[in-house]
Amino acid sequence: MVAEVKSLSRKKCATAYPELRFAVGAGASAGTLAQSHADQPHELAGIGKLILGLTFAHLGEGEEGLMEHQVTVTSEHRQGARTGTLRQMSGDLELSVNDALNLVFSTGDGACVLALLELATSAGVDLLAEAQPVLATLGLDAITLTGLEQEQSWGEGLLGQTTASSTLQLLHALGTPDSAEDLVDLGVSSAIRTRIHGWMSKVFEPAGLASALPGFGPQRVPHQTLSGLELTAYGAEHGFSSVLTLPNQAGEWVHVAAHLPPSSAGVRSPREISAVLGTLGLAAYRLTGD
Amino acid sequence: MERSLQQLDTEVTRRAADQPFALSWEIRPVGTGEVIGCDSTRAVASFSTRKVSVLLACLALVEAGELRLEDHSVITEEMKDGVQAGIMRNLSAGISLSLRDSLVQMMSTSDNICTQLVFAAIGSVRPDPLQWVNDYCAWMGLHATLHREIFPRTGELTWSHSLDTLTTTTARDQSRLLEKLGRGCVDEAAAADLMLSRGLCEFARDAMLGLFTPALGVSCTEIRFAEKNGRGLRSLSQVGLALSSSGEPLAAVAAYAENIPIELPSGVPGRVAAFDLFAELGLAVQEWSRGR
Repeated sequence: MVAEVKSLSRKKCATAYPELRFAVGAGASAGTLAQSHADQPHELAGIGKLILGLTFAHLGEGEEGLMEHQVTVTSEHRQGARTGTLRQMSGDLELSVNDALNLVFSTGDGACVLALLELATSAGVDLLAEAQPVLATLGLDAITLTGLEQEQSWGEGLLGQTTASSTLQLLHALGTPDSAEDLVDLGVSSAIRTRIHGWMSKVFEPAGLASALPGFGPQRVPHQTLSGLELTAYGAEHGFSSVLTLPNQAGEWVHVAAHLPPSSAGVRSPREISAVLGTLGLAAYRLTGD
Repeated sequence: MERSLQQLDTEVTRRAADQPFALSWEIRPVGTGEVIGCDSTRAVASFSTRKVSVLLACLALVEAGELRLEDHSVITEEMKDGVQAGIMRNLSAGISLSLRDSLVQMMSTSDNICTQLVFAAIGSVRPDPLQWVNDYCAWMGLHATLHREIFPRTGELTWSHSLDTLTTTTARDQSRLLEKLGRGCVDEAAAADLMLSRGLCEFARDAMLGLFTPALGVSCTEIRFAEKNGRGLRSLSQVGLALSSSGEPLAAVAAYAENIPIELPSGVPGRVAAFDLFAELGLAVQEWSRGR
């Protein structure tokens, strides 16, 4: 038997999966509607790419044309990639920075990450140093960055730790695709928000929190998420983080941040990882109809 | 029929009977002439499982020296129209891809912009590329397969759509083709039957090993699947070639789940149950492989 997605309430998710760390919130306030082990630190393990994208988006605000700048994904980048689809391709591929980040968000493409890191290095940009004040401005003190991926990439770019609560706070800070207010005072301009939500709305066949959302064929309920580590050996060692943002009937958005630690008892195969995270995602979707 | 194959037949039949949807399926051990299955001649919408035959039909032109894997094409804005599958639709137009990379993306992410590039390549040396693929299928004995479009505009379909304008196939046709591919990966004469070289058969197998969303092999630990998925509105399908850990082709598998309810009584989306069944099917094949 393979693990199956279940239809559970948020509270029962915490009971059914005692090792699952998660936080659920709604609207613009930073309060949580449900949580479990939400303040326990864990590796970024899937959401480093969100901070990488946020950092590049900030850099793009200060340097006109950066997001349209061409990067070359080379055979060396592909060889170092452990995730994504470009690693299976051949020859050099020219992409804009925006398109490369799109593939990082949508498929966790490690080759694009390595090309972007190389671009930053060649331009004299210290991405780690650039990311720190972005997080500090948002008050995300519990997110600590420890380094950059080097030589090998699992589609993350930035390495470090967070908590489910802090990741939820980051999702709140990013607002929603249709929120009218400009959150520039919080360090996130509407242009950055629009760009990041553009990337998060195009994730290819997500295997985490969004994997069991209602829908059929190419149709799914509207949502925002990230390509995660559910299908990777890296995730098996470092855990599986996933995020989800959904509109609710009040026109607000429900945010979910979750992390399944690598030691989770009885959860081994990618299908089982998806079943646990998908069950929580489905429970969060039920919340949008409350 | 060997005993372990009978057990596999019983196991898959039992698991399929538990589902709230119809499953037509067929499994062919490579090179033995044996076959098991259920409803395997039922006509079904192929959706992207058709791309195995598109891949091989294109590679036959490479083998003939009429196309080169290094040939490049450029993605245009117009190619994004109606495309629901893949990753290229979200990127800027103007990206240049080799035929090799277009084939790889057509299989890995089922990218339908790349499918258009592949058909354009076939069309550069054949007056009607769709007919070339249909002729190839006929030559390979896929007599119930009809390619009717370059790519289906699934965004315009309803759950209860008709099959009239879609590419149709059967589990039998797809398992037949994959069994030939399995033999072609280890035997030049078998590869020639597919109008390919052994190296091009291996290229096709490897392109299928890179599927972004594996289902048959997702829970397997002792065998792998070179596989391709198909995503319809009320149907999901998965076809694949089971490989031992050393790469030996073991069996061709084709499974088509039809009339999948949008939601199960439990509130879980119906498609999730179909993916669970495909994973269980892969595990059942793994169990069979132990007893060979």
